[in-house]
This record gives sequence, C-alpha cells and structure tokens, in this order.
Amino acid sequence: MNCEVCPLKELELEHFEVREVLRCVLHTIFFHRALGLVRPKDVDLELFDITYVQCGDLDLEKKIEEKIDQFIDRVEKHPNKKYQSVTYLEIRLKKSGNTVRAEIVDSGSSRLGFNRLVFSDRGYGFTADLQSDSSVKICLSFYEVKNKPGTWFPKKLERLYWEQWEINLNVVQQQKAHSSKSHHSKVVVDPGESAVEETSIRRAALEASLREVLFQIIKFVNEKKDHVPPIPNLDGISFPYEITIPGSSDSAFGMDMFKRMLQTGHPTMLS
Amino acid sequence: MDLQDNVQKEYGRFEQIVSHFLSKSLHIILDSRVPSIFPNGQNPLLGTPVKKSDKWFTLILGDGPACLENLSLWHRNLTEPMIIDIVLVQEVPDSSSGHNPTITFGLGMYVETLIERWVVQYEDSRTVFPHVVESSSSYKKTYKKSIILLRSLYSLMRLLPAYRPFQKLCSSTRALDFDISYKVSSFTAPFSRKELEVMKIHQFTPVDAPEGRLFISLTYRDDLSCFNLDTSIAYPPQIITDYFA
Repeated sequence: MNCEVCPLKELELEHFEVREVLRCVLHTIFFHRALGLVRPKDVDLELFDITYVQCGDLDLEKKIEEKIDQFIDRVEKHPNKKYQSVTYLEIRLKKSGNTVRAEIVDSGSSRLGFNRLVFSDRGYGFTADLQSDSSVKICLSFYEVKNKPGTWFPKKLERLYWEQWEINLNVVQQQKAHSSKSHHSKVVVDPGESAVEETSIRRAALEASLREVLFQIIKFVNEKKDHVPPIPNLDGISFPYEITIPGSSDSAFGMDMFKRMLQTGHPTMLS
Repeated sequence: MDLQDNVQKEYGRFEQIVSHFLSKSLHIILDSRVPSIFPNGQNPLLGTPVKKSDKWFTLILGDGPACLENLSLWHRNLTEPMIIDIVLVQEVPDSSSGHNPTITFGLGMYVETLIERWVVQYEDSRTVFPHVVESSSSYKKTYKKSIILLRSLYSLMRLLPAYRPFQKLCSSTRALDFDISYKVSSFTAPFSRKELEVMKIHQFTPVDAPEGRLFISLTYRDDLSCFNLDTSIAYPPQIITDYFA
C-alpha cells in the first residue's frame, strides 16, 4: 500500500497563535479521517474569522491538547534564535526617488545578513523589525497494524503507514529596533502606529494562509481516497495514528554574526 | 439464480446509499445556510439517542428540516440532479435605489440574489449489458468514499463566504435587513454570462460507484461585500402611549 504524503503550506505565526492554529489544522484533518460515527462540533477561532469542525471526541481533544502543550513547551525551551535585547544598531537610510530603503550595518560597516528586515516608509518615520525564525514540521500519520511477515513466534507486529500529513510552522519571534536621532537627518521614530498596522497586515496574511491550508486539506482528502483502508472501527476515531514533532530546521542566516556584533560592537550615529 | 439475486441485492443496497446520500447532502447544506427551517436549533444534544436514519454516513446531524421527509417522494428518479439554490433576500430601502425588486410586499421591497447553487447528482453509467458486481465489498468502498466526501462538504460549508451571513442570522438579537432562503429543484435555467462573471465553481472529486458516480458541484459568489450585510434594521424611535411603569 502506498503511503500518501501531504505537505501543507508553511504558516508563519507568532508564539501566542500556535495553539489556535495547530488545533484548527489537526482537528480538521482528524474530522476527515475519523470515519466512525461522529457528532460534529463547529468551533469559531478567537484570533481569526474562521470556523472549523471537530469530531466531538473528548479523548481525541485531550490528546491533541497534550501534543500542542508538548510542542509549545519545546518551542519555549529551545527557541534557537532568540534575540538578546537589542540596545543599539546603526541604520542608514537611502532615498531613491520616492522610495526610502533602510540598510542595517554593523559598526565595522560590513553588511549583515538577517532573515528578514521589515520596514514601512511613513514619510519620516519607520521601524525595523528583526526577526528570528524557527521552522518546525509536525507530522500526523495514520497507520495499520499488521503481523510482520516472516515472523511466527514470537509474533511481531509492524506499523504500515498509509498517510502522513506535514504541518509546517514557522514560529517567528520579533524584536523591535529603533533608529537613533541624528543631527544629520530629521528621522523621527513612530513605532506605535506602524507596529499596529504591521500586526494587522501580518494577521490578515496568516488568516488567508490558514484558510488556504484548510482548503488544501479538503482538496487532498477528496482527490485521494483509494489508499484509505477499510474502516476497522465504527465509533469515532477509526484509524490508529501518531503525532510526531521532528527536529526543527535552522533557518537563520548571519545570526551568529549578529550576536557577536552585539557583544563587541559600539554605538554609532546615523550617517 | 444466486448470482442474479446477489446482483439485485447489491444494487438494492446501492440505491439506498444514493438515496441517503442525496438526503444527507441536502441536510448538510441547509443546516449551515437557512436557520429559519430549524426552529428548534440545529445541533443535536449530547446524550440524546441517535435515530437510525441519522447514522447514515456516520455523521450525526440531528433532526432535519421537513423538506427532507418529502424528498424521497419528490425525487423518485435517483439519476435526476438535485439542485439547491441558496438565495439572499435583502430589503431594499426605497424603489429609487436602483435595485430591481423582484418581490413586493406590503411595506417593503425585497431583492433576491442567488449566492450559491449546489448540484448533487448520481450519474448512472450503466450500458446495455450491466457488468456483474465484482464483490460484496464494492458498495462498501462507495459508502466509505461517500463518508469522506460528505465530511469535506460539511467542512467546506463553513469556509465559504455565505457562512458569515448565516452566522449573523443565527446569532443576531436584532432584526436584520436580510434573510436566506432556498429552492430545491431537479431542473433550472443555466446562469447567464453576466451572472457567471461574478461566480466561482468548485467541484468535489466524484465518488465512483458500481454503476456510475456520485458528484457534488458548486457555483457561488465568492465576494458578498457588495451586499452590506453588516447592517441591521434601525427602527425609528416610537413613543409608547400606553406605557405603565
């Protein structure tokens, strides 16, 4: 039997969004794979304008919450790319026509690489968000338990995986960096308004991505049905499953350089 | 003739699956679009005994609308499509607003706009010489795949744009200036080109059956923002002349 693999679109989210998003994705998959008798339960997300469906199975709900707790605990204990607090950065502004670009340089004037530099041009005000990323893939697999061929005594059982879902999360940790006022320019920092606007944009993008993932799940379960084994259990969760959290990937670029700069660099004025 | 008996028995089971598939689809669609036909609420209470008919496709939905009971009488030919139109009914402030009212009541004008058209159908592909059913498990495979299809229909209902106005109707304590109604038929006029310009199409992958296939398709408006469904009716203040404190 083939093991069908469905890698879901990566979701970029903040720490406090992980629980809701994971609940939504996991429960949606289970609803389409719990082919025994279920009493569906509609759940409205608090952070997003999305309604998803749960099977209404209390044991499953408990197990999902336990897994989510484990995952969040892991992210908290091993943030990998957690920033030390940023006290100072040199930020150069370059204007080209109507566009203002922000370039972050270290005290040695060599260009640093960051995972992402986000800025908004609001006339004379901007904020630079330096982000560290932690990508994790959570796997939800369904399997059948069969006697291992060639073994008679003692009987050995093996798991035959017939489907694997890959839930890709990019947990972003943000830190704000502020420009310093220079006597050479009239740049004024306005972090409050632009931060709210950025959060709003980011939240809307995540909602759209989450919706895409739910459509992806529906599309996959519809297009691929032949590999689903006969239903062994007519009550609720019909197939045995496992949820695993493999090692996270290291997606930072130049982070070590940045940390060294924080330790050894000294403040410079805007040029 | 044992073989002939088996074939007839299998087909009998399959006809049951098709009939219940149509009925369950209708229930799922109306359940999440038209609150007015479920006066006692839609969600079946935990602990209440489950009727045998509700266990079909392992999806407990509770009591269905009255139209479901009449479905088997009306829809005798299983190969005819079941077309479910979901219609947004909106009150128009006055006749000079530029709308084209289609219904006029005593006090107000109403406009009906089709926002979703569902087509649920069993396509019978039997040829002159029907092939013998391979094994007794073939209808079981069809049933299993139908379960999955109906699960995804249930999920999709909650992700489409029309779910939001339905939720507003269910949860609002104030009167709203719109309502959602439905029509079920086996034949309808095709969409005009103008109508299709504002609509999208979604087709579920059909479920193969021994003698044909089951399929569900949807044509829908993916943008309902032009209908301003966030407003509620603002009643002008009135003096209550016979009020007693």
